[in-house]
Amino acid sequence: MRYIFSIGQYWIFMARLVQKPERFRIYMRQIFLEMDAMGFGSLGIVAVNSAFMGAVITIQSAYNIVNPLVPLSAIGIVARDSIILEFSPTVIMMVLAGKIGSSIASEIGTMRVTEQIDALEIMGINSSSFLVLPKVVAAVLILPFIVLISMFVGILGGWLAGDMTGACPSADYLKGLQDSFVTFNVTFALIKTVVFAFIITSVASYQGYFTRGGALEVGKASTRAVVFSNILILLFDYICTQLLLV
Amino acid sequence: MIEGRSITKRFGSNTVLEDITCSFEPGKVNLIIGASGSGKTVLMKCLVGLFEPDEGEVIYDGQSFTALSHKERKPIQQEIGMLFQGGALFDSMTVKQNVMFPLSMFSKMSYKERVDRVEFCLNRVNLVNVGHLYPAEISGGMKKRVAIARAIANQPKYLFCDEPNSGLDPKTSLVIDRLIEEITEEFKMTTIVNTHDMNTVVETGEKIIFIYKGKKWFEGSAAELIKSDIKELEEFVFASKMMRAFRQQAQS
Repeated sequence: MRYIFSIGQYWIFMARLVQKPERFRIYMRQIFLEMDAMGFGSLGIVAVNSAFMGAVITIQSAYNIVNPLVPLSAIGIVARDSIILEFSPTVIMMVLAGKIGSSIASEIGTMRVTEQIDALEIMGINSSSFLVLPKVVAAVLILPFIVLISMFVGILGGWLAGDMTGACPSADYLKGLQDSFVTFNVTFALIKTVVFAFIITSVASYQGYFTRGGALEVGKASTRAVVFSNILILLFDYICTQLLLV
Repeated sequence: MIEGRSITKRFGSNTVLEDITCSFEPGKVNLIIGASGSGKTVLMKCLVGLFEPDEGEVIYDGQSFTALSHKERKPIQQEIGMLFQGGALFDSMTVKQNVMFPLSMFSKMSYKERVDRVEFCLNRVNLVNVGHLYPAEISGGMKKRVAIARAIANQPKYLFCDEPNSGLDPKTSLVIDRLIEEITEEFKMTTIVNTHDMNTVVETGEKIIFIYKGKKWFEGSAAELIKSDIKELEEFVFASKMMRAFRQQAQS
């Protein structure tokens, strides 16, 4: 019963986001600030994760290809498709759910328990729209670029690891990368990223906005934001794959 | 004038406010007093629209605030300034940005005019050279003063203060009390202060409402309060030796 209530409350909360902003200029400034925080602020963790992910995929693929009839360029194909279709849009977004999601939930949750949201409401500001809309818009706009960078770094990491360890020579890896490349896979990954960006920011904001109590509850809201975001990312990963690829 | 008519507020089966009718006089410091948990803050939150009363209505200058939609309430809300118990300053903004925030959101002032207004408000609450600091970098008393500066930035008609002295030493409390009294007179605002600090009652109370267990037990002036023989009110107001001595002195 509580989950049904929460789903209803979430959608009412979302409906309040799309009301006319009080000052468009201030919302725009907030969007750019959020894009900076979410985008540039996440580049480090995304780059490190992507590089190692690409390296591991390449080495594991090489380890598993024991049949001499399978060309080594297959390693490049496997690495490319795994990174583009799944690792960059899904795994990296799950990592970002931990970083961005917990940050949003704790920021808004703290604002709730310290009456900062009440202060906004009393001023006549639509607090949910003012606090959440810029985050959702910023995430939807900037995270596809972050995922594109992740794809590039992941593939690069795989190339370097394959070449340095001798698991897959450069020529084979590069041949594999170009072999039967489907451009729609990148489009598909970006569509998923937009869906996941919306999930991460809206779920985390919802959890933070409806926090009641004190510091302990802010921590719990932050944890719930990450857990629910990850579950929903996996669920919508399946739905998107079913709808767009099958 | 702000009025509350038969306000009842429940949280689940717990009735926090029961049939409270009260009025707050314009241009004066009106106090809502009562012990912790008596329902003062809930009453104040009903008055400003943060809580919806289950029964009854809130009237601002003859207009029913309760009957208005969120959108229709905005013009009234923009005439309200509120000082929260903890200050409720925006952590991510400097002192200057905090005070400027309501101006940036609602006024049509140029940037220079807004800066001048911020300077004026900060000077009015006796804060200088703190505009660049963040709320975490200033003391509790300064936070309260910044919150007052933010509350008066948009020249509100109504000022609500929820326990403005909580967590402050007696001297700083007095500074805040006097400041609230002065700005009420200066800007001709209707000020409503929630407090359980008897020094505030003695210093600033022009009209006092006493809430006890969610019900209104007394409404009147400070002089009437001292003469009152309501047992619950006496137990609350004259709980300390100092207040009993004050009563004796006032009566003699």
